[in-house]
Amino acid sequence: MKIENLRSEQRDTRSRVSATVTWEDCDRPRHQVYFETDHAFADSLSCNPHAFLVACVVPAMHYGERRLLIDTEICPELWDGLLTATSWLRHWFYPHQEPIRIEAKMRSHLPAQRTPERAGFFFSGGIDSFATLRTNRLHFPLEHPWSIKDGLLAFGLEQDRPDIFELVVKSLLPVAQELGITLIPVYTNIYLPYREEDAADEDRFRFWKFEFQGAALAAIAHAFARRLTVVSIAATLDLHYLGVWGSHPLLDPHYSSGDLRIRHDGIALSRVAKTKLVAEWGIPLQHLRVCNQYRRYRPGVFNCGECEKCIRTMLTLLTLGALDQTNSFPSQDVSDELILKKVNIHDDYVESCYQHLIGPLAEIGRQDLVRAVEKRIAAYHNRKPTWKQRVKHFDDKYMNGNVAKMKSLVFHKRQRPSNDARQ
Amino acid sequence: MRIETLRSEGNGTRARVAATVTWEDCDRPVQEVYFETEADFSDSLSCNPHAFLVGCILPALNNREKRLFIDAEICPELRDGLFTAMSWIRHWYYEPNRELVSIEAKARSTLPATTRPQRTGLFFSGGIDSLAALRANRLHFPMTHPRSIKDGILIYGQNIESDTRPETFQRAVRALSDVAQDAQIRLVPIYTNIRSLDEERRLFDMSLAAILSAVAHALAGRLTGVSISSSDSIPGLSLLDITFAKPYGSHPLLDPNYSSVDLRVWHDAMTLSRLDKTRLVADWDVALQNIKVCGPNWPGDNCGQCEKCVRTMLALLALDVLKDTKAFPGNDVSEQLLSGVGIKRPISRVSYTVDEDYLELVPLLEKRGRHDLIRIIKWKLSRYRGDSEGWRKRLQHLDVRFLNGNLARLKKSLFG
Repeated sequence: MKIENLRSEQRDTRSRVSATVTWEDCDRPRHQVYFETDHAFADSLSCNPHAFLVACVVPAMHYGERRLLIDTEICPELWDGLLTATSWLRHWFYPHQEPIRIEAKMRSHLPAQRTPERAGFFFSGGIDSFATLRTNRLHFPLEHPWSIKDGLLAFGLEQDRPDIFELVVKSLLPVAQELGITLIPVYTNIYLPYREEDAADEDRFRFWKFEFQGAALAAIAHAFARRLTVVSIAATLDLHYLGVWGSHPLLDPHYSSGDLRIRHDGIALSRVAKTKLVAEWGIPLQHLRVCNQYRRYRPGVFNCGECEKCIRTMLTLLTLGALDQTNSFPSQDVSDELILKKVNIHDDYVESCYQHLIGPLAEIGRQDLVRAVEKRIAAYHNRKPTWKQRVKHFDDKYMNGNVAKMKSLVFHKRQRPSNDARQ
Repeated sequence: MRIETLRSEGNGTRARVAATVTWEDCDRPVQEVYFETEADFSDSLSCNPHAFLVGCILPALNNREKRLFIDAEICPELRDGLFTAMSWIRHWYYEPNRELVSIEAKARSTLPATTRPQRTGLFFSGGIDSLAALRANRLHFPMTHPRSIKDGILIYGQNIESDTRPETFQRAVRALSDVAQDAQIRLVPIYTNIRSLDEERRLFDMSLAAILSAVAHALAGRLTGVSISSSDSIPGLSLLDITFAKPYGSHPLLDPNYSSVDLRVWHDAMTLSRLDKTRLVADWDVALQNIKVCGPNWPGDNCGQCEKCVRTMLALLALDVLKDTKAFPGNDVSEQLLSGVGIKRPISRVSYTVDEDYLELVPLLEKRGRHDLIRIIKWKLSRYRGDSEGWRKRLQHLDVRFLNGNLARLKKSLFG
C-alpha cells in the first residue's frame, strides 16, 4: 500500500486533510481518505502523516498488503508502536502472515514547534465516555494540563447519516458546554471503504469490532495533533473480561507518537461502576446515548429503549435508583416481558454484565426481572448454534484457536474478503 | 501505611533520597526506605514522592493496608495508573474481593516546574533481554531522538535471591560499563532497600515492574522515560488465563500504569522472541562478552550450569557464537550438561514459554548437526509433558497445550 499526495483543502463549511491510498497486493481500487472538521477548528486540523499511517495500517494488514509506504518522515516511536500493535493483531488473527513492513523516513527529533499540553477524549455520550470524563474531572484539577478540554465526536465510523449526526452534535453541545469541554465534530471516511463488506460478514462488523476501531480513533486524534497532546479512548471491556478487541490496552497506547499520547482509559472499572459514576454525577443522565440503532434517532430521542444495550443500561440505572431520574430513555421502568422479548445475549462479556445485575436487582426487590435475566442467561448457555459456530466456539474456548490456525495453514486461507488478489 | 519525612541526604560518595514508612494495619516495624546513587549522579536523584509511592504500593496491598498516605502532591495520572495496576495485580494474584489500597495524597495541579530535556533510560541487567532491547532501540531510534536510550540503570538491592555481595555488584558495574560505553549510554548504578518492606519472593514476582519504576521515578531529575525490557514475547504475554498460570509482574498490561505525566514507563521489545534477542546480542561483540544471565549468581559470573545459563549457551551455540564468548565457563553444551538441566513442568507461565525458547532452537541446532542436543531437548520436553509416562500424562499435555487447561478444570468441577 502506498499513501501519497497528502494535502490540506478548504471546502464549503469545513476544512479537510486527505491522502491518496493505492493498494499494491490486492485489487482494491485506489481511494482518497480524509479527515474534516468545521471551519471553527480549521487551525487544529493538521495534515499529519501519522493520521493516515495509523488509519491505513490495520486495513493494509487485514487485506494482506506486504508493505505500507508513506513518503514523509514519521515518528520512530509511532513506527515502533505500530510494529507492536500489528504484532498483537497478527498473533490474534493472522498468525501465519508475514509482518507488514512500514516504509518511511524516521524523524530524528520531535517537531520543533511543540503543541502546549492539552487533553482530549472521544466523546460519544455513552456510559464509557462519560465515565472517562467523570474520572478525569475527579482526579485531575481543572488547571492541570491533562484535564480534558476537548471532546472529539466522529462521523463516518459507526454512523453514516449526516442528518442524524447533526442531531447528535446538537444534543451533546449543551452538555459539553456545561461540563467545560469543547465539542469537536470530525468527519472521516477511513472506515467507509470497508464498511459494507464488514456489515455482510458472518460476525457482523467483525473487522471494526475486533481489529480496527482503536486505530481509527487514534488516527483521528493524530489529525488533531496540532491541538492535542494526549487523547483518551474509553475502554469498552473491563479487565475481568478482556478478550481480543479492536480497542484494547495492548493496542491503543501503541498508536502514540512522541508528540501525541493515546490513552486507553477505564479498563479497571466495570460497566456497573462506570454507570454508577455517571448516575451520581447527574448532569449526563439527561444526555445519555447508548443505543446503536442510530437510524431510529429523532430530535431528543437517542435511545430506543428496546435493544439489548438500552435494556442493559436501563436495568443498571434501575438498580442504582437512577432510571426514574432520566428522560434519556422512553420508559422509566423495565418489564420482564421486555427482557424476555428483546434481550439476546451474544457474548461472554455481555453475559457477565447481566450476571452482575442479578444481585442488585434482587436487592431492590425486582424478582420478576431477576427471573427474566436468568432465563436470558440460560438461553445464552443453551443456544443451539450452527455446526460451524459450534466448531468455532469450541476452537476459541478450548483449543486456543488452533483449529482455525491449522485450517489456515493447510488451506492458506484466513478471514479475508474474497477479492484478495493473492488467492 | 504512611510515607513521611521524605528527604535527601548525602555522605560524600553517594547521594540518597529516603522516606519513613509506617505500617498501620499490620505489625510490621517502621522502616526507612531509600534510593542511592554515586555522587556523579547526585543531580539526577530526586526526592520524588512518586518513587516511594510506587515502591510501597504493592507491599501495602500484599499486607492489606487500607490506605497509603503520602504527604506530598502526586501526579493524578500516576494515581489513576496505580489503581489500574493494583486492579490487574488483584485479578491475577489475589482473591477478587481484596480491598485495593486507597491512595491518600494531594493531586498536583500543574506539571513539574523544571523543563529538563527529554531523556530515556533502560533497566540494564546485562541479560539477553536488556541487551537486546538496547540494540533494538539503536536500530529503531536515531541517536538524536528523545526516545533513543541514553542511560542504563543497574540496580543493587532488587535481586536479593542472587549474589548480593557489594564487590560482585561493583565488578558488574565495571564489566557493563564497557558495554555501556560502546553503546554510548551512561551506566547509572542505583542502590535501594525497597525490598526490605516485604521480602516475600511471590511479592517480588508480582512487583518487579513496580520496583523498577520506583527507581525510575527516583531518577526523574534526569529521565523522562524508561524502558523495561520484556522477559517474554507476545505469544507468552498473551497467556492470561489465571487459572492456568499467573502473568509475571512485568507485563505490557501493567508496566505503563506506573507512568506519571512527566515520566513514561514502557514495556519494551515484546515483539522479539528469545532467539531474536539472542541473535541481536550475538552480533554485538562487547555485549556478547559481558552477558549476565545466571539466576543464582547475578550480577556475578555465569555459572554455566543452571537452566538459564544452559539455555542461553544453547542459543549462542545454535547461532555459532558460543565459542566466541568468554561470558560462560565453557564453549560448548554437552549432552551431559543439557541432560542435567531441570526444565520446570508447565504449571507456570514462565515454564510455558521456556518450552518455546528451546523449541525455536531446534532448526538451527539441526543445521549445526547437533542431533545429540535435539534428542535431549525433545526428550526433556516430552518427559515433563508426559509422553513417556502413559496416557494420563499425554492427556495432561494435550490439555495444557491445546485446551488451555480446561479439561483439568472440568474434571475438578465434576469430581472435586
